[in-house]
Amino acid sequence: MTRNVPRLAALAAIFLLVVARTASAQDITLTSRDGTVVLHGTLIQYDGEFYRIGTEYGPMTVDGEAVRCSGPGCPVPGEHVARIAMSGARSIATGLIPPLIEGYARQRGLHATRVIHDDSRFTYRLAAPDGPVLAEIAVQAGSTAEGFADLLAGEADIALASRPPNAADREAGPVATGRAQVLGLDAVVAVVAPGNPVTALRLDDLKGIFTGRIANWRELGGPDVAITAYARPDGTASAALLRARITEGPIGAGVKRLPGDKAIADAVAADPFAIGLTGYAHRGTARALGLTGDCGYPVWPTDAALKAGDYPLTVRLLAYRPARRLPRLARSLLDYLGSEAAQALLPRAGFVGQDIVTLPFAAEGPRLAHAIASAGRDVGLAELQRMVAELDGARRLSAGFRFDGGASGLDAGSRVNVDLLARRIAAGGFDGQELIFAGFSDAEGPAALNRRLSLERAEAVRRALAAALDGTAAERLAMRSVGFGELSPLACDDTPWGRRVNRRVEIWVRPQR
Amino acid sequence: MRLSERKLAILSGVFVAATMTAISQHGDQIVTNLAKMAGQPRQVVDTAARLDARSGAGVPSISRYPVRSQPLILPDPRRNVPRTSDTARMEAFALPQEAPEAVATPLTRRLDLSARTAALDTQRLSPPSDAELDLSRYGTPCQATLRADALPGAMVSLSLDAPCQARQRVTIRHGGLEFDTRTSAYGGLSLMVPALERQAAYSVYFGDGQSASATVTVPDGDDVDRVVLQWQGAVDLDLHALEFGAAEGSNGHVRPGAGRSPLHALRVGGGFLTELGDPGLDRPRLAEIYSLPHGTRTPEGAVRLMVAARSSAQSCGEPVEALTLRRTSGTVTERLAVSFRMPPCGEATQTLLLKNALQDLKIARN
Repeated sequence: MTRNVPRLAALAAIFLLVVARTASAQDITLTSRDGTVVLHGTLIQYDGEFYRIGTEYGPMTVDGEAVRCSGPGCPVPGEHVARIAMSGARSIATGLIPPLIEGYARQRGLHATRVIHDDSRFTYRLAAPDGPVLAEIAVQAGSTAEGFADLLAGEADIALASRPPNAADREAGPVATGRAQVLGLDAVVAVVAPGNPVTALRLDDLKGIFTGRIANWRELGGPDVAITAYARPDGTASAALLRARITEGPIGAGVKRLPGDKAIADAVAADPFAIGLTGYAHRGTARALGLTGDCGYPVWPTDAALKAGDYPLTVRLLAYRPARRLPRLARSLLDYLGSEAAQALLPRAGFVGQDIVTLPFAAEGPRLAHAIASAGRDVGLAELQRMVAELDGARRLSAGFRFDGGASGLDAGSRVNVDLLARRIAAGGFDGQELIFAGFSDAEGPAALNRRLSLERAEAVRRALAAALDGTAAERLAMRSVGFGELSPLACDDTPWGRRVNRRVEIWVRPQR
Repeated sequence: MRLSERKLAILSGVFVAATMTAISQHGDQIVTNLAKMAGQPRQVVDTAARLDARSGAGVPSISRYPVRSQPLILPDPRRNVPRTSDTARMEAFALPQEAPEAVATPLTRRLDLSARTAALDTQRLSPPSDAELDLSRYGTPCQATLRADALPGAMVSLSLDAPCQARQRVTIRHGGLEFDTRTSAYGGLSLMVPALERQAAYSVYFGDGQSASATVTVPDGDDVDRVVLQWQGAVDLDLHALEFGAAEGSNGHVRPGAGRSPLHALRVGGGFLTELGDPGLDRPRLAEIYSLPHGTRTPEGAVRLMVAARSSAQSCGEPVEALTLRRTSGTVTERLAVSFRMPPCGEATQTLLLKNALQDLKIARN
């Protein structure tokens, strides 16, 4: 008799499982108001507006206004908790998302609780001040590729990515590439300990260090000490960028791999002979190096350089949404993430916002020095005086504009900047001002041709902005294009990346005269 | 003879008057000497004598006057729990209940004042009892008073005097910070608390509803970044700070047991840890605060913050609710509730290290 007890229990468990399968607590029936359409299925999600149910035809989204719900899975009015899931790049998930969700909660007057599951998973619970939980936002920190996979599998509502989907991601399924939103900016930076005398390296030196060709500081003019190099593991967006843009091939076997940007920054900060590739936002106490060429004008990773796209290893942090309709909470959260209030929170977390700020001409000292030093053969004093006369007293917009290759097609970041600027203008942000579209080129080829090319690019940006404005606000401000050619380089012209940094359009603002 | 008798009477009168004057003027000394003769401990007698002098010699109720608050001891910045040595010293002070016999008896007996003052007490004054007057057993008003003084490092020295709340649990609140501790045997409390506002308000609450509050202007209140971790109950949580790339266990690893002091932070740079609350209480509210002054000696870079949770046989596997407060660059304090589960129960105690629960503190120089 006693022997039968476990067997009985097992039987009962199986029975319960079977029953649970057949009459799941999530089962619902949606009936249209006139009774003509009936849908049976399991409730996947109810966002307070729409039902998302799994049916024999596949998952479907149904407007809650148009149907009546019956069955055990129907949401209880007033007890609805909105749930969304995010997954993706570790640095975004752990560094950028928490302050933004907390900012969102503050703006909405909600109390936020961070429920920590482990170092890679946490959930924000947002509750009304009087108690009831209104929303739960689950965040999974992994890699960009995992984020895309989770989005594809329906396990995430938002993928957090530090790069667009690549061929491997697309192979797994159609990641909706048109539905990306820029959350903020970060950059891959080479870092050394605060006491290390190196301030800037050539991209080629970095290539040597991370392929293993350069293994001793002596080869870079330093002491005779071995270099300890750190990078992120393969499979991360950071390692992919290292291979694509720096080593242009496999990463050296001697390069030590650490799981996160913070771990790399901390390891490097503690070792005067180490160098690491980490995120600008998480560089911590380690010191970020400038990138230089043979001409000796480094481009420094600074907030302004990232905003303007001047620093070549700038990374746009993206949120991808699925093709399906998102719950109301997710839409409202994504709206917030793009708002100026959210962008203003980014610097405190170490990231750079895309919000447009202006910088005075007085802040352009180093580049003026650079312009004077590189003037001579093709560019004379008269040209320099023309530039100073145009720009003195004006303020430079932080947003920079660049082109894909030699074409006059704006790159993705610049298209975002056009939209942001159009919004600012439509809101009256530049009423009574004159916008000067100042085109610059690299120094390849004759100066006269470069001046014409730079003017064409400036015109292209002006036209793109005019198209985005679509006639609104045109009479409230003046717009004018000028081409300065190779007059004011930001980086050395002896490398492809340096030339790309130099081919740009800046926008300067001054009161209308 | 009659003359000499009168002279004698006058002389003795003068003598008595002179004696009385001498006693009233040199009461302190006489009392001290008397006590010395009686072999009393010097410390106690000194106190009684001082009180006696202040209240006017010969008033019988000298014992009721308070021993003026505890000696000025700089509070221990790490754990602001009254220390046992303090408690012992305060109890030594509480002796005045016995002291009056030793001090007052010889005087009153010699001057034979007791009968007269007794009559005064009962017939004319009939003073109300301590309870009616709301007085402590030291005869001072029961009203609790709190004093707050600003100290460098945006710290505030709190002195609580609550004579009727000896050894009572007390909750201290300030700008979202909240913790429980205990008053001394004497109803006093002296501790150092970080300021989370430039115009800082502090309140103390006792179980019976009594409260007191104080405000203070903290001149450097906006120049210190602070992160608070606070929780309630017998859970062993600790705040750790790895300063400017420091490795765990190294000099720059600020943690309980290596918490540093505000003075160290101001002299050498870096931050310091303050632990508040008495873990010996039942379900106490406890807090740990990491402070990072923006001093010129603090280098540029980031401080990584971690929460360490050590499980015990009671707390293992249990859910924990904590609250974090964060105030940087003089902005509004941000609150965030944090919840997690203690490490699972096992044979050994386990420590859970939450590395991503708190945002870094950053110091940038331009």
